[in-house]
Amino acid sequence: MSRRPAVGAVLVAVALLLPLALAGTRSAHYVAHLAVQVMLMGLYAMAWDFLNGYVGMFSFGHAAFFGTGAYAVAILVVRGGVTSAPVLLLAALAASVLVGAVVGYLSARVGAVAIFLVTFACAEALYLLVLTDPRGLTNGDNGLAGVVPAPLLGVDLTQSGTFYYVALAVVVLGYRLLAAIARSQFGQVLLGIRENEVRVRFAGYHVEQYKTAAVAVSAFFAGLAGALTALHERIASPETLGWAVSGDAVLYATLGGTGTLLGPVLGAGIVVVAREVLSDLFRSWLIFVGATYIALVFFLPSGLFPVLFREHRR
Amino acid sequence: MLTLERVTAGYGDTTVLWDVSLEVRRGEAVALLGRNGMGKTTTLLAALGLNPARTGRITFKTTEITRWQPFAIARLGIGYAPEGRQLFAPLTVVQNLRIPFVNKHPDRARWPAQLERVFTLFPALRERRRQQAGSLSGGEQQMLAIARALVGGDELLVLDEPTEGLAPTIVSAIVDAIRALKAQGITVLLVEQNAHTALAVADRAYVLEKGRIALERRAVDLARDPEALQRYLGVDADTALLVGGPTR
Amino acid sequence: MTVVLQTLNGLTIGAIYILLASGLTIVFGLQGIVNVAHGVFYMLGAYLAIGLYPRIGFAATVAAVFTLTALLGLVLELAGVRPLVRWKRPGMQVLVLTLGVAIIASEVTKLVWGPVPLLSDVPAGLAGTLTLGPIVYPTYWLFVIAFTAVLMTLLALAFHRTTLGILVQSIALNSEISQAMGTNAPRINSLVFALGTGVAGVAGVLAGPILSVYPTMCFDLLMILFVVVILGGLGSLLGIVVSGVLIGLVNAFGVAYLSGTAGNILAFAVMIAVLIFRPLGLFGRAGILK
Repeated sequence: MSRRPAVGAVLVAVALLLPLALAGTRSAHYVAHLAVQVMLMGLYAMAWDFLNGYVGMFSFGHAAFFGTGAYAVAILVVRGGVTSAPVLLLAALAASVLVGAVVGYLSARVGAVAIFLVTFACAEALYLLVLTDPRGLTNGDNGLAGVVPAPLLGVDLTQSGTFYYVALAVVVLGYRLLAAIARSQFGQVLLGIRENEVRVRFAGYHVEQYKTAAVAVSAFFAGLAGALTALHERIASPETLGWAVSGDAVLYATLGGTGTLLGPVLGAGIVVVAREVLSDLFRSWLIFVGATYIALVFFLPSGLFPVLFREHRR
Repeated sequence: MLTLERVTAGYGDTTVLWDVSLEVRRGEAVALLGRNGMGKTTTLLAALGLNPARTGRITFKTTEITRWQPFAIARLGIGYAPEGRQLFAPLTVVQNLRIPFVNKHPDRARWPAQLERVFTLFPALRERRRQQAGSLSGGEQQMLAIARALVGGDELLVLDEPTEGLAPTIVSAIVDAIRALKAQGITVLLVEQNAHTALAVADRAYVLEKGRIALERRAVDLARDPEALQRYLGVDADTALLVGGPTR
Repeated sequence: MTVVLQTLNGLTIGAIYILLASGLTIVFGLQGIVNVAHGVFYMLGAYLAIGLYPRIGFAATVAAVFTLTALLGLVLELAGVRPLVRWKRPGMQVLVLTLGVAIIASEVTKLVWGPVPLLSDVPAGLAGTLTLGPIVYPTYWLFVIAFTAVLMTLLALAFHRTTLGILVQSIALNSEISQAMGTNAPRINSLVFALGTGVAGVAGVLAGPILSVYPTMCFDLLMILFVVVILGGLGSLLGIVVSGVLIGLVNAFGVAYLSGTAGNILAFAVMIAVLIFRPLGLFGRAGILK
């Protein structure tokens, strides 16, 4: 019996109550900031996990979608003067889905082993584009700062408490949406493709189209995470398109448990917090990351989530 | 020589063999019969270590080999001709034969003798020895598969569907070859869908149904039992007698 | 640089790629795993060469590095890869494991040698230039190309003429059946793995004077390496030779006429273009080692 609904409910309850518990304390802002990072990275990792765990496409270029979302928002605000939050988000989503469609088109047509390279290449290409900045839009490696949205319906979105709840709402909705997609007819076909592509093809499904669509869906949520991150940090920098961010998605999902959707959120939480704590303490905290990978493989091959909640990957 | 005791085996979450026990004695030819999907190949794979048994014991001569690695089991003197032949297609006939030889024979000087033995048994292979295995005809490929098993094992020969997909004349040639080997004292464990062929060669037969041993008989007796043949193997008894029963 | 010199540059870089890719692709052909830590042995070779060469000379450095990186590779294979393969969880798990090893190695290297890129000297006997016709070629480049050509030829001969080579091919074609024929596949796989890492180390020694030496070099080259391996077709020696040369040239010209990273992007673009038409790579066929 899946414990998922119970776990989910507990998580949401904790998340809802956390700001109230910390209100007024000195660390409230810091914790809120960290919590939002965790949530957005969780959304980002979920998006990656959808593609890898459900469709079987291992992407090493998810930063492309994340960064596109971030830069779409940043460019519109800083260069275009657009500050309406809904417009910004819609634009970011559209841009991400577009990039996703292109990357998906390519990824769907190469063998399974090469997908990580193809996605990596696309992310690197975008990274390069942003760095060289041919049209003077992205400000090169300085990044675009000053990404501040206008108040929505009188509510100041940049207030840390407000943003916290916005992020929470988005992440919960995102999860519900992704889960629903996974359960839908579309999602079942994708699962089928992961299990036995040839058979699905013989059943008459145009596999490439499904794969492309799956990448676009994943890009949608990754871009959303990127856009919100840009609004949260008030800056979009080229790193959001770099391979480290792509690798982060893989790390969160692998640690948390691929194919579970919630696992990556857990993974994101652990890594983001650990990174904060450890990088203050140790100069070479990366060694811990490497050791974690090794330990993962030997002790927790399916990630944390299945072990903690005794649920197996679908 | 080879004993399986209460073996359970399967793939992933599925169990295919339930509590299977069988025995192959020295010098015998034993046939493992049954319809498609009943677990015949799974039994062989368990014995050979390619898909190890989950529970039970497998013994070769006096050594327990249940959890042994496949190459260690093979080096005990067991030769294997897998279903579908599975030859090393880009390699030549000689190279295919060389592989089991170098793995199992400490004395390299015996190579010419081994080759000669194989080519005497299967003259067609002699002419084609430098040809790529993948370019041989179906019958020749099967001969090579058996030859490969022979080079690998003087003690026990394990053959999985050796006559599958072959023309009747070639089937007779293969059957004759197996009989010749048996006459030389080699023990044979044979899996066959084709009951006629199997019973023509075997001394005893086991019938598998849904992963369990349903029947154990002397081959002569089974060949003359139309009911059993029909029930377990879907074979028409008249045809069985036509093609020629066991030679005993 | 003239076009001819640029071509030579591309061939030299291509030679390094080929040396490195050979280990990766053969191991994949045999065991179906990707060793992300392959670059670590390369990096180790480069760093060790800087320290060893002035003391013991070039030839001895190559020999010492080969032995050391081969041994270390063997340790990695026995301790890390073999258990995973036995537990039937190769592929992704080995990738994550070797990635962890690579990250740690990179950080440790940074701690020991510092993050600043080092430059390695061209060995004394191979310094200078050769003048053929109107063009002047750095001797060292020619040496690297020749070395690689000889080594690859030896490898190819070993695969096709020696008994061990036949055994290796049989494992690549059908590991299970080969084992049923008595082949001690685990041992041979370990040997080949170690051979691959040894060659990677030597590649590092050779590459030192050409490319700079720094703690993240094990990662930076990795992506291009994967391009070479996948473009050539996993498990195909001939494939990586061809794709190594191709990517080396593309990279060299890209860097010269466009920009540093553009060279890499161009290589990726070539790979994607080929893969769309031949998803298994130029010479890729399931399970064949050529």
